[in-house]
Amino acid sequence: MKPSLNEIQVECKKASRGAGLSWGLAEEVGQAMARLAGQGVDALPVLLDYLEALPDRDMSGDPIRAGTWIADQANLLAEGESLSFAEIRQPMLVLPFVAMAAQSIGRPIIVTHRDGAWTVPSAGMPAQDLSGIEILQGVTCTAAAAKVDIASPVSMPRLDIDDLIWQRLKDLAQRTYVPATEQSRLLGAGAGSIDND
Amino acid sequence: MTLARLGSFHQSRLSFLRSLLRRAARENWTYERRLWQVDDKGEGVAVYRVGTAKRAYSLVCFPHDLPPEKRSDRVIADEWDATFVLYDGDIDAGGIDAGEIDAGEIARLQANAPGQEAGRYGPRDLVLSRANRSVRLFDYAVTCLATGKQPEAAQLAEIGYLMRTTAVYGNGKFGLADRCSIADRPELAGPFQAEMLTVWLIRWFTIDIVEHMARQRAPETAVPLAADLRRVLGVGNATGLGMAPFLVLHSALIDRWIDARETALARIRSLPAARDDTRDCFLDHLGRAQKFAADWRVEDKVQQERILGLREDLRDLRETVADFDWNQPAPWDRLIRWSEAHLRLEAQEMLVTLVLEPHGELIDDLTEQMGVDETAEFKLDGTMPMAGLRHLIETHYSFALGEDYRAAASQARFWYVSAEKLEPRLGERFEEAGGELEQPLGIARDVKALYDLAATVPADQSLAAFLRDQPELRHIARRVQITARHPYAEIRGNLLAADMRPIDLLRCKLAFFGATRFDPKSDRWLRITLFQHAPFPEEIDMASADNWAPPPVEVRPGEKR
Repeated sequence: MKPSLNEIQVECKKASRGAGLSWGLAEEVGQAMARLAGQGVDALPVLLDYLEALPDRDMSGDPIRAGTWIADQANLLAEGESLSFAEIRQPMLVLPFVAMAAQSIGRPIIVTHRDGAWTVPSAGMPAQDLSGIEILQGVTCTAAAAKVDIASPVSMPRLDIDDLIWQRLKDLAQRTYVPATEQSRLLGAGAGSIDND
Repeated sequence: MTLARLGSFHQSRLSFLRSLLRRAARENWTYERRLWQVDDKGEGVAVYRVGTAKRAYSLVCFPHDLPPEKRSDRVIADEWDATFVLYDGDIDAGGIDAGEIDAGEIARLQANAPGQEAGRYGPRDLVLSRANRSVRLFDYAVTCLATGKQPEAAQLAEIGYLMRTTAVYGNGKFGLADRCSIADRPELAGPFQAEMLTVWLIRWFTIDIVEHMARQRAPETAVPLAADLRRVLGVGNATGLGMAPFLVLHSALIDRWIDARETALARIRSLPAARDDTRDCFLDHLGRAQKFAADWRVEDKVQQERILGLREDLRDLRETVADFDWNQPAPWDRLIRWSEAHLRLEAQEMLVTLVLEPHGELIDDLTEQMGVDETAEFKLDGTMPMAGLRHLIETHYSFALGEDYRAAASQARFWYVSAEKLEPRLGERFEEAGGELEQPLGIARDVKALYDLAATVPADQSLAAFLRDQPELRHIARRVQITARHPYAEIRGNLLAADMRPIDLLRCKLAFFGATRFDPKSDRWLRITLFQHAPFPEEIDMASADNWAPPPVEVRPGEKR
């Protein structure tokens, strides 16, 4: 399955909503996944793990909450403040939000954690593959002092998404649809008069 | 930005198909029918090529022999009279077959396009579409042409098209090319330019297929359709609710469209004087508009009533401009002011179209600014204090705060996506199941909820902290910030109200496309015509590109306008 970026965005949005995220968060997850996919990064398996476990998990270390917390407050980072988290689970999912923050302030963002640090440039994505990392502890985000020029990303070929992963996302998305009834077929789209002349 | 106002818009020279044709003429695009392999039943494949300044595009057409009982305009149909893909570049083979049409690519499209939504498409497939015949007119035209006669102009004009599209998909749907992958090309940078190009080329195909069928029926006697009669035929379109959420969910984009229109109008209204040639062009187009209104007839009672009002108002306008002092300062502004006091919305909006028409050199540049980077607009500023957010709501959403959304009539409807066809639908909240699965289109209601809850937290609390506790209000908080940056982003109405007419939303978007002859079939779907009277690819030039909407009125001797 080689979906377009638009399909990734829409399907991840619906799946997120179907799994129980609010519309606002779901929209942002959709954008975030398309942003990663546009850079050649497939975070869909990580997202799926996150969404399927959503009903049972507590919110500590939630990567979507952490990601929006950072992206929403990019201005604070630009003013020299830092944002800290005791832990972030599935940090792969935080990445696109940090990238969004970096882009909006035009400066790279440095993410330090107990075991190291990485830099998210203001254009593009960091080279690290975070998909295998379950949890980061002692995380702090700060803006880098100076703008680092990075060549704008080349357009990537489409990701080849595992069919099973895609189907499971569609299954979650399915929860946002309303089953048709005779009444809705008749009224919902407002047909009624003959449309064949 | 009320629904009633948006639902009265007409096409104008800022409309997307008008800007497409201007560019086509200006850049001397080239056109060629590269392939026509259609059998006696009307089945096969055809390829039309357009060469733009730097690139080529190919419309690949698959006409089908559709049994009449299968023909339906509704999205639940699964077969059509013809299916189409706009392909990026020449659909050419490489290697030793270079310059020949790539049979493998044709076969790939043939395996997918006839199934439309059931097929899969790739990065070189830009637009997917399908069309059904207007059976009455198509058969009539074939019969006439087969017997060597031309069809009656009045019959052609009454319906206005041989085929109508029932969907035109782009932007990554079903695997099509993402808009972001083509948006940097000047010819596709404006909104819906690839879609408009597709429909323009489909119009060419509809003439070819009707002539083909006439030849198949009677090769000895068949004649082609006369050039002046062809111009009367556009492409029909049947549009339903699928289009409505777009206007709401792409608020920053809609702002650009309305902003272009308002900026154009402001430039014209601030002109100190009216030039003679612009005045004459305006008067000429007023006559055309009167003819257009006289010919515009629909079965829908509400719309027919409005059309009668439009005819009456245009007569008033004609009398007023006959005595109008064109030498007074800012005459265009005076005229608009007069219309606001004397004309109904249909006619006020027609006057906007008429006033824009003669001022191309002053306003056509605005069509270059009707797109927006929506991803950048998506960013929420969480450092805003809640008092600031409440202030924004008071400033921009006063229309939403007065209503009691607990009242049944205020939230009678809900928008949802149907499991059957994955298309937007409108349900009755208190009569149908599924209200808990509603789409986030209850803007006015949700803004009010945000406003009320915002009053319960400290004024200096940050929006980010507020949304951490209230994530279900995140979409609406982001929207308020977008609206604050974009004055025309928001539709000032309650989209859940019992008396809301979805076709008002559809008409606004369709008018920006350049559609004419709005023909409501209920309060949630309508038929329209695209490119009626427009030049065909083989005849377009600078003179014809903009002189057709509506077309010049022929005044016969002794006839009064």
